[in-house]
Amino acid sequence: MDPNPTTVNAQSLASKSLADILQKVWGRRYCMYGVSLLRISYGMSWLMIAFTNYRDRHYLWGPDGSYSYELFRQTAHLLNFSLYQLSSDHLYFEFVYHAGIIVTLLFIFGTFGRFGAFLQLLFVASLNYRNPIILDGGDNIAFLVLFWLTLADSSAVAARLKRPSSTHMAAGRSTATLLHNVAVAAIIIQLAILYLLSGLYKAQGGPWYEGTAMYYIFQVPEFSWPPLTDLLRGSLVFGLLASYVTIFFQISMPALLLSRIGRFCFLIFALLFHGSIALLMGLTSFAAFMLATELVLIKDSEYASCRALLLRARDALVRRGTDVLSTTQ
Amino acid sequence: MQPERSTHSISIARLISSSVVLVALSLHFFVILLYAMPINPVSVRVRSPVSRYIEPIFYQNWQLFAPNPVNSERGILLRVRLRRDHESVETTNFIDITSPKIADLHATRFFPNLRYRIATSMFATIHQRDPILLRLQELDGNLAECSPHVENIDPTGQISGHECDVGSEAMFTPPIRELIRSFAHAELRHMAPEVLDAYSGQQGAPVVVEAQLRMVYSEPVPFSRRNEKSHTRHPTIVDSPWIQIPPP
Repeated sequence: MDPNPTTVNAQSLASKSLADILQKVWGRRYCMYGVSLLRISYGMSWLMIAFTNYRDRHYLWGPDGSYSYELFRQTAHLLNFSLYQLSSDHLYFEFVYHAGIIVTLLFIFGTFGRFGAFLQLLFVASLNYRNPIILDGGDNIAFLVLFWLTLADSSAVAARLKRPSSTHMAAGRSTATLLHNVAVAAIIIQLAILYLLSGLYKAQGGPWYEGTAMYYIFQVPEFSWPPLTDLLRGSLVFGLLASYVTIFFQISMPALLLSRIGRFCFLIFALLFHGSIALLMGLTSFAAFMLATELVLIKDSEYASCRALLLRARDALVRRGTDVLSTTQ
Repeated sequence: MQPERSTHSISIARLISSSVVLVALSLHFFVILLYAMPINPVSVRVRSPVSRYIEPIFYQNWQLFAPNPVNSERGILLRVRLRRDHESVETTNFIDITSPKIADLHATRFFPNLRYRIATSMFATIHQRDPILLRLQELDGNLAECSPHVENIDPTGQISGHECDVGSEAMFTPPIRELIRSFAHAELRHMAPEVLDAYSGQQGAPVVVEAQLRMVYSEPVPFSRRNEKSHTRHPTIVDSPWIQIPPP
């Protein structure tokens, strides 16, 4: 028998890299800061929606509102569970609406960790199903991502009531780590699907590849902001650039994530793109949810260097401040 | 030897659970792709089991302003029939519901109030069509662009004088009537004073018994005509049947 060293070598190499992969997936939680900041930004957006529509809550979601309880009951699917479907009583409606605001506050602080995310999921689903005709793509992605947040560890930036004890953590740590990493991967894949498909749908449409899409959209009062959008509507260059840059970045988003420079280019595009959507088209909550989701595309090490940079800048400012003080004294 | 071994050793339990998770995650997003991607022969064939898995938790639609962005200016007007005593019934003029809400929207750019969305998405809801049906009609050369061509619906709910009948017969289904009823009912509370004041006589306040929505579409100015000052837009009007409003 002649032992074949190359096969043995390859085998051990394969098993070594497999072990490395397992170690990565089970041993370290990725994107801790991104997930925490995502949670906080989502919560703030939901809070803004709850507050800016507070006076119209009955009109939008109430039992006698524009989408009546009767209609809601007729169209509700058995699976579309909503807390609002349990009673058509006005007091009950008020109770659930205000409980939802408290749950959102706790979600922002991250007080109850994954359970807090689950509660938030329940209340967001309840409100979304209560009146489906006022939802937009932002509500859609936020709900999908919130589902995965119930598996993620967003304690990096949070105000927990009590830190889990170290022995307790060690026991469930590695399974929780796997679930956290699955959630992060799922959020990124879901976001990539969103961009890829919305880019593909745009590439199908005549107005987009003819560069006239913005010309038509800005004719709709609901999605425009005169006089600024009237001005932009007249610009041929703006129309062409807006169409093509959008299609390019949306379709190539999954590929851009593969390299650091590509990822940063995409993030800059996303900031400009969603910023313009918020300002010009009046879709603030959509833009806020999209930009919040983008936060998981930034690595923990990048957040750390950002933080270090900010701290250094602050120190420099403080030092200069004390210098100025000492020279004046 | 011990530390060397620990970096190389593979826990079978971890290997198996990681593989299961990987397969589940891949399957999950593969099904999502089938559900949300443009209609194709494969997605049409597996549509029903795919929808059963996706809806409602993982429901998603990424046709954001695509393929053809929304381009018609849409407005809703509302008028009501008021009964005074038990005999005389008066019909009010149409009142513009959409414009004040759009004015509010233009005044607030940061988290604008969502009230305008009800008025504008009434259109989408009333004219909702199955995407596969739409595609088939398109392939048949029977363009589904018909719905804006519905001209007028008489007060008895009978459809008269429409140019093509795709979907228009089935347009005012019971849920759509209920949607119109609850929308009108909620709107009346906001404008009841201005409606009722104009019509309140000496005999006491009249009661709203029926409401009718008028939906107005204004086709966009085509890109090629953008500089023609003389270009006039022809709005299309669709009136809903009169819908009974129960007493408060």
